[in-house]
Amino acid sequence: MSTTPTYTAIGTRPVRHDGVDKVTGRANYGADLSLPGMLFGVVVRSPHAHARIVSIDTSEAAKVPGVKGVITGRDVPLVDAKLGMGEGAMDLKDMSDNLLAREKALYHGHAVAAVAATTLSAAREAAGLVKVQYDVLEPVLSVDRAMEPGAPILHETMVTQARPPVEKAGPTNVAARMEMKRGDVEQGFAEADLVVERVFRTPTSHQGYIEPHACLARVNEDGRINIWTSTQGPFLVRDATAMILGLDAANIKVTPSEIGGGFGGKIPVYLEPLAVVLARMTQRPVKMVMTRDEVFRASGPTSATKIRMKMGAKKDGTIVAASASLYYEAGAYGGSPAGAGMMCAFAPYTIPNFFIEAYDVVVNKPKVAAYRAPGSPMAALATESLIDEIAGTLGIDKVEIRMKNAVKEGDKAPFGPPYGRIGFLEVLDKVRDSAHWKSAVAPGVGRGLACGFWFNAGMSSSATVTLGADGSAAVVTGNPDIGGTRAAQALMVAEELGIPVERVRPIVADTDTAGFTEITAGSRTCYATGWAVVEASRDVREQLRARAAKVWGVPVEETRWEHGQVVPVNPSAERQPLTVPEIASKLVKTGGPVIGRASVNPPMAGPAFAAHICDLEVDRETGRSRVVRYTAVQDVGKAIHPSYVEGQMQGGASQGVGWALNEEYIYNTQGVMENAGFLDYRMPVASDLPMIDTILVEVPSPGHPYGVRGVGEVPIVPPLAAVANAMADATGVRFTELPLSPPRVLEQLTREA
Amino acid sequence: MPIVHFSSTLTRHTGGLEQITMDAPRVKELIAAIVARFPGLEHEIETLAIAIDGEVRPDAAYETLMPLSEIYFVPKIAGGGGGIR
Repeated sequence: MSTTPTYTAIGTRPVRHDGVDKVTGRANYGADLSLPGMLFGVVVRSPHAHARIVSIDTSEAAKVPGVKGVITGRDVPLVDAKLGMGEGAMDLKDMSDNLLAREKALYHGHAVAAVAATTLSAAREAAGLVKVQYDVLEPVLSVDRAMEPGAPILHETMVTQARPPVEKAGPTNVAARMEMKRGDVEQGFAEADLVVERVFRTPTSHQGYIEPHACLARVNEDGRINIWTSTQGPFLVRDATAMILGLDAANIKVTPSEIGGGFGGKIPVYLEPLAVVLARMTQRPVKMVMTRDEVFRASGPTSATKIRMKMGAKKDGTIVAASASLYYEAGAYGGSPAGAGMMCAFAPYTIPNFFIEAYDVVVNKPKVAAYRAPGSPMAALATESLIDEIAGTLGIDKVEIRMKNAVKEGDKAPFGPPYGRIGFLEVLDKVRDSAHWKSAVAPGVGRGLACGFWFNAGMSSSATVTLGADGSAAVVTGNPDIGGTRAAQALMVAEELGIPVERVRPIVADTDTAGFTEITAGSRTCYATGWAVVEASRDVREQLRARAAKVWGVPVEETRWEHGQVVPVNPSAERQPLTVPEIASKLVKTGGPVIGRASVNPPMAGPAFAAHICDLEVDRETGRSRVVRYTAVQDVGKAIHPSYVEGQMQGGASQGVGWALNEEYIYNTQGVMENAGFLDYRMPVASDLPMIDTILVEVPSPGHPYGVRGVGEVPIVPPLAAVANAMADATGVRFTELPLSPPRVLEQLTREA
Repeated sequence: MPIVHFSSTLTRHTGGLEQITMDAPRVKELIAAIVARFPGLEHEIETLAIAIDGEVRPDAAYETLMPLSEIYFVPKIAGGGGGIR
């Protein structure tokens, strides 16, 4: 019989350690640091979406008073290497060409030169004087155009990396093609009582982090380099900068600032190598900060997609076959999350026969960056819309049809291995029992339900826990804290050592101080780095047992750890249990300070499943809609700090609602984004949304000391479809293209009427 | 002996075999044996992660195999879920 562990700290909701600094404005973000003699770096960007660079003349720019350096692509080596990053690899050649275009500008906003000057205004003036002669080419702005015969080719050397191989591999705009199948899909469709098929489209959209990309680089006289930056991966910034510039990573120290959002978009390097090149050239510190306009035009976004999906079901709702073709825009260089979309599309359901193919397609837009469960939300829009339609047509309850087809432990994932312990059925149970699902739907309102799947990464992490003589502890890791991970790590130390969480100081350290740790991404920090924190704390515990044994004059085997104390196996008047503060007060006498350390490289955490319920009020006269009630249900494994788990769910839901209702890059025919600002790129703000209710389901992830699963990404998977299904329920019209902005909704309602 | 499963994209290199049993103490030796038998798989496997009894590991070479371990090859997912290539 399994027993549920009881915790004293885990599962409580203390105020986050970094909270006061943030609400008082004391926290230092990427742009906050300045150094004496610092220069300001400004990037010159292409005004064309697709153009051959004929020449660049920097002479006039260099004459501007205060200008100390001007660089172009000639000043940055074009390396041909890949940087290992957890389970994948970053193409540094592409990343380097993205930093500063060499032969061609591949999107509007592509960097072509950079200037450093003593004032920002001088740098901007000089940037305006860099003369670039372009041979303008036709921009490729959609997967449809990119894949047409005769379409302009972005990269003359691009061949399709295909599995299985394709006959004519290039030159092409299709960077990659993948496929997966199971069973006999045609036979499956033949046996179906109902087959539905639709084409779905989602727009280019941005992660929308509040804090723009910002960094400061300084080169010391001995050649050592310091970079302060807002990033999700300080070690990645160090290694990518070193490899791109041909430097020794051992000479680069990266200090991560507080981070004002990333969502995957602060994994790539955009500015840091440029700042280093300018700093080496000028021997002055160089600070670079993107404007909001630059953030939209030259960082992020996520893929626009086109997905054709077909699904067949029996009358009782059993899904017997599905097929899908996924086309994901990669932006200017290959590497969209099409493969992840392919793996996620059918992951929540036991479909006996399926075929799914995915295309990674380059277009003249910024190179896409990861965005919270990359690739999965778009695939879920298609899958969950079709399931919703099948349920509606067959008159089956929308929770029941999902329960009927839901995966459970032992079922094979579409990408191969059987699932371990997962909580999808438990999530659906909670949906069915929720007050929201049971409530009546108000007139003029539609209700949508949708589910989602995401992997949770593992990868390498390190942690050290230092015990002070006063019984307090510091925990040092290398993961920038995006989602409350410091509070979670402090809770883990408090739990393991039996000390108050307020007595634990969680610290995000620089790359010279922290042990190597992979990026804050993949929903991995609380899981993998948390695992290292637990192990480091247990290392402290073992050392404290040895210290207690020394105090008592007994072998360490005659001690044990129990409820936050070291307890003698054979108690006596002299040998009474010792708390952590009591042993800490004797550290000097028993051997000196105690530091626990651990490094781990765990397997991927158990995957996450989520289901969201959305009530959408639709004004048929204007097409405007408003979310009036929203509930997010998710298997979180174990919530270490429930408030921040709920915050992740609410944040993911909010971003997904924005993606569904309003957010999109609007391009003109020349490939120029026309809404590169928050005024025109409409993200939901607090006043646009109701309170997002949350229901936490805790099915422990196998292996992890507390059963933690990742929680940060899956909450953005269901909202696109939840909103679209609510729109269909409210209007009787199935919408397949996002965003469901008022003009689009009004147009389709008018057409259908 | 450990059981190795091949996905639909790999079976073209295995003569259609979807699963085999193959004795090996660790993943490293298992992959060497698989590649020796199905040379076409070498390039494919290099790019894949490995699931051992449901646990997906990108760096599994030195992982020990149990007599009834079930092995699957799965696409790697870049950190943060970026591109799968």
